[in-house]
Amino acid sequence: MFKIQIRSPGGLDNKSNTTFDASWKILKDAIKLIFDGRVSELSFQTLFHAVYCITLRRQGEKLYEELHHTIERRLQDITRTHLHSESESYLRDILSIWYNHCESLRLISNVTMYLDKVYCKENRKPPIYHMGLDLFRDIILKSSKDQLQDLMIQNINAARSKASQVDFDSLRSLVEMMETITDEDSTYYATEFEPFLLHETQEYYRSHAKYYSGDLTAYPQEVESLLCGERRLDAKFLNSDVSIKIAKVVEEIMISENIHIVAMEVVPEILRTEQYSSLRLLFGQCQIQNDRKKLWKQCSQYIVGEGLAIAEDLNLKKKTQVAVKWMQEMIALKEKYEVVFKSQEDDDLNGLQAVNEALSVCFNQNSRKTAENLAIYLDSMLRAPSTSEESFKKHIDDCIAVFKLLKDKDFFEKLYQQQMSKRLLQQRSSLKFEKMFVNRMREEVGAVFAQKPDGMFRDIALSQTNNTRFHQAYHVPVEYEMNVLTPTCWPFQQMSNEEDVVLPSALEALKLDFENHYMKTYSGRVLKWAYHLGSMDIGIQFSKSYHIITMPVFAAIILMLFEDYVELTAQEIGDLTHIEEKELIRNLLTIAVAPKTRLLKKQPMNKKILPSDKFRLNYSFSAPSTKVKVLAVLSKQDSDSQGVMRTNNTLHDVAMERQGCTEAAVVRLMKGASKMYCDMLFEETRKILCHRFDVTPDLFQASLERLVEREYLQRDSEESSFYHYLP
Amino acid sequence: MSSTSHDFKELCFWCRLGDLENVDRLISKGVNVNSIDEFNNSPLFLASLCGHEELVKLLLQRGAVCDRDRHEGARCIYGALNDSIRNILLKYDISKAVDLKQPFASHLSSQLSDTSLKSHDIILRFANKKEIRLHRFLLATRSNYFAQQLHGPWSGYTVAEMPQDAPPVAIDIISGYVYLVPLLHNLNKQESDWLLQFCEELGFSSLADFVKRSRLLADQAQITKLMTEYQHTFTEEARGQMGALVEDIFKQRLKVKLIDEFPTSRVDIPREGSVIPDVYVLVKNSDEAKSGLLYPCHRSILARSDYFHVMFSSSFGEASSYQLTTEGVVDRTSPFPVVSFPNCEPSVAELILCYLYFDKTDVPWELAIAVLKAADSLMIDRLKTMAAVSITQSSEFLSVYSVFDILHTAWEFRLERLEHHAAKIIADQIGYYTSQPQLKEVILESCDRLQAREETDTIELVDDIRYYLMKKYNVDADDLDDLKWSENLKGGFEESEELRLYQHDYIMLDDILQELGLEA
Repeated sequence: MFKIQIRSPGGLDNKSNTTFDASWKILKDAIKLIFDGRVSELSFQTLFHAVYCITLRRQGEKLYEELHHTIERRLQDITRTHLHSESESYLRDILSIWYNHCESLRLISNVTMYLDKVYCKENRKPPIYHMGLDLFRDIILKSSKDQLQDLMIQNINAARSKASQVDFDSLRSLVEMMETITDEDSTYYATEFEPFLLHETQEYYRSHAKYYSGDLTAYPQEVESLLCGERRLDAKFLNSDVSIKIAKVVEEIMISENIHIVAMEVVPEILRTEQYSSLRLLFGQCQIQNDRKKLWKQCSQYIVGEGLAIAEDLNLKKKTQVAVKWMQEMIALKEKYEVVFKSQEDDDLNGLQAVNEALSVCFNQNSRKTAENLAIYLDSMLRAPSTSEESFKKHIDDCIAVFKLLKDKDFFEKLYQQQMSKRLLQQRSSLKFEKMFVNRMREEVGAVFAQKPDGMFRDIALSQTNNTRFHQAYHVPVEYEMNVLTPTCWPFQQMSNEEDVVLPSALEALKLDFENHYMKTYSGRVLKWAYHLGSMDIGIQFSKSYHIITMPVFAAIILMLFEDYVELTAQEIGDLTHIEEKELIRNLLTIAVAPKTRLLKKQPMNKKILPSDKFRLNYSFSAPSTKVKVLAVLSKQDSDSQGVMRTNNTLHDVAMERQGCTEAAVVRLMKGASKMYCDMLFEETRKILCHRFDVTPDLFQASLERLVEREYLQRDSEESSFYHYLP
Repeated sequence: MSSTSHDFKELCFWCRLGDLENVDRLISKGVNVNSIDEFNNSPLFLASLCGHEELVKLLLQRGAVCDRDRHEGARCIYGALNDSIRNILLKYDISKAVDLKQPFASHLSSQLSDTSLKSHDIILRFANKKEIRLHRFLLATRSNYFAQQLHGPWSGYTVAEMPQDAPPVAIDIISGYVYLVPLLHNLNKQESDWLLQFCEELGFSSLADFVKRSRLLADQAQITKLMTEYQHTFTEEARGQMGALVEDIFKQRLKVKLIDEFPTSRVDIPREGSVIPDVYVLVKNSDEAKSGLLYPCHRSILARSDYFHVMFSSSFGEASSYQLTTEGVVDRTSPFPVVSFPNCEPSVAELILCYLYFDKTDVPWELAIAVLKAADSLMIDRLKTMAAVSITQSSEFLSVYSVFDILHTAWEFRLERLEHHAAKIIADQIGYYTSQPQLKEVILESCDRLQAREETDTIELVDDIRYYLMKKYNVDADDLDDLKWSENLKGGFEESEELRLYQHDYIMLDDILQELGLEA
């Protein structure tokens, strides 16, 4: 009934009858059987007992060495007999050797557990199982390393190019094997195979990138499909953390290493062909911050190119049309790319930044021109009465966005104020929209911007109430409106001799009445009249028709002379009205020479006004509509020089203002710091003023010198670039 | 529930001192760790008051309750010597601490689902095709009903059909109860009715008590507390039953003649006797013995020893002699193997079996060395430690064995506790031992052991003896500096009596070292 061979483990009572050699022989024979897979023929008790006795007799070291030797020789034999480098199933051969080896080791280490526990622990030797794994590493893996790795990578690359059926099970098992075996405090996989795998992966994709011949815009799709393929592939035999490393390598090679090509060629091509989904892919693949910056920069540059290509359309006749068209195109460009880049990533403001940078470059290519165009664009918008509030708001936002990118902000302000004053006086725009814009600018730019416009609004509002009161207090024979303007708020220059102008008696009376009325309310103020800003409507019955004619005040004064006179020379008109000669000539040209508004007949009929020229009323005047507007014309040289002059004036104003601002900023800074280096002072000043204009070194130096002259500042006696504040 | 028993007093004593092994030993004897002494102190309170962190952990592991909401628990936390212990106590959550059990109980629980041995030999099958694989011997041991069934109607079956309408959860609880798995289920009325009916039939009266009492409670925390209380009762019941099983095993042991260490003839141990064994353990006292004793045993219990666990879970001859039926349980009609214990007296073997079956850890000093050796070769570390504890506990041990026996045993079986014990004995009677030639031998041996390991200047044994000399006279290291200083002054200072005595003993030891030509 009991057939199993049994030997007890046990004490050392009978040391005599078993020697090391005898015990070892039992073990050695048993190990041979274990290697041959005949383990069930063995008695665990007997083998354990042998190990136990040897260990207790302090012969553990000898036993350990014998075991080491035996396993080593076994592996060497196997390498010789079972592992042929030309074998087609080389990988599977290694695996089967590995599995057999593990099983044998497990059984051997079952038998040697007392040795592990006592001898190995005390002597800090790896347990038998680990010793066996290390031997496998040293004998099998290291000797077959190159071939094994080459075969594996061949398989992997074959799978990458989808060439043939690949044995993923073997690959996975091999990777598992390498992860089981330790090497230098890590796994064999980590120390040997992974670096190799990553390197080979790099090589593979590097050549792939090099020979990429497809469409440039399809490059991101190509990378994406490579990544997908790689992920699918890796999932079949690698752990997920390794797959991430490999995906990183692919991205690194395909994007980062080729970032120049990607940025310089692929990005512009994508933008040109408007394949924005590719762009999204590309940004998704590009994870390194620096590279992303490069991509954005390239995007920005592309937009600059597009922006600069939008030229002013000089075929259009009017300057306004040119400016409006240009602005509209620029704004459309901005919107287009904002939408494109916004969809790239939600949390990333790089896209908008890129657009802004690009437009900033475009706008500041010729900052003054842009400022002027913007002012004109805005002017035309405000003059167009039909706009709805919604669309107007959007336009305001556009303008403010452009304004923010502008360097010469003060220049725009100046132009804006000039145009606004005209709009207000001529009542060409809705006060509601004007105020809306000013308020938005106040929010965006600060209260400084709104100072003068607010003054203008105030004047207009006050004047209206004044007019009403005046109408109530006095009997006024004509329709009549006065605007009292505060000179500091309005961008006009006083004409020198307007006081002397002789008004027709009716107007003169009106003027005196108004002055009386005004002085009653506001004593101590000086009221000066600016006729050149005003206009007058006069109804005249001509021989064929009746017309209401709107014209400048001076023209009206001249025309009204003909109530009393039939014919006057230019000289006589001048003497009667005291209108300055230049202004007189201009107005005479307007109503006597300009073809559509020839209210006076001139003798002789030519385009020049001489003092001796005679004028009389042109009763044969006619026009298609009852209302006629007389536009002040400019003589040829006048119109040229005036345009230039106006710009020059504005420029001059701006320059003066800038100087003032710069000086004020410097003084403010120095008051706080009391001494500072020139360079730093420059930077700080620039920072303070950047929201208005760009401080140039010249401007800054000039300001400094003036301040030194006026003894606000003093140069340091030793260091010329160091300044002190003089309180 | 004040316990005045001798064992409990001893438990409290070791808790004050912080002796892990002795506390473990006593708990394994079945002393209730949640009792209190005449001053209302619980073992856990004493251990935490005296600052024995490891011991606090052990007590909690073995089921000591630290319930903040009760006076005893709050007192433990309040009285804890340091923050580290307080944190351990606070972190301990009674509702989560479900596997606080005695080692033998843990092992039994693990056998319910552990398939590495493939030792299950009966299947209970339920109406819903659900099957549970169990051990016949355990069913029979834990329940008279099962015993009757197994010896009667089920004796030839490998599959036993169960009542059709039994709710699965009640069956889980019953099988869990048999294997001492903690109860965690919430039962509805119908299920607990079923369970009570089962308990009645199977004779599980304390489980029935628990179910009845827990039905009255609504709060889960209170049920958990009740469960912890009952777990102790269950474990002690099981311990008793396992004890009875071992009694049966001893009764059914057979004397067999041996030739070349193997039984000569077919032995007739009843295969389906009351113990229902699946392996036979041969015990003999030497390789040349002409006869031995054969004990009918159980693999799942023997596997508590690492040696047997590996033997039965690997593919060597012993394990491969078992056949499985088509259902995948052990085929009891094929022969079971005989395995041997290390050579020892039956009393030693029986003690080991008692330990394996129900955690008997009281080792009589006379058997201590033999048990220690056997436990070492069977790789039962805890029993080995218990045997060492018995040696250090016993006053009579030295009347039979010499201190050098202790030392050799300690070295041979790597027991630091015994090394220290021997050093202390030598230190206490240094005058006597310096006259013994064996002392020199062991000092030299200790010296050799060191060289075998690492190059160091000290001799471990000598260091230990010196340490215990210091303890003996209550001298500490600062006093020693004074001593050397006064040596230089040629006795200029008056030394204390203790220092003088210490110096005297120290020189005696030094003389021996000089004689041996050693420096240490």
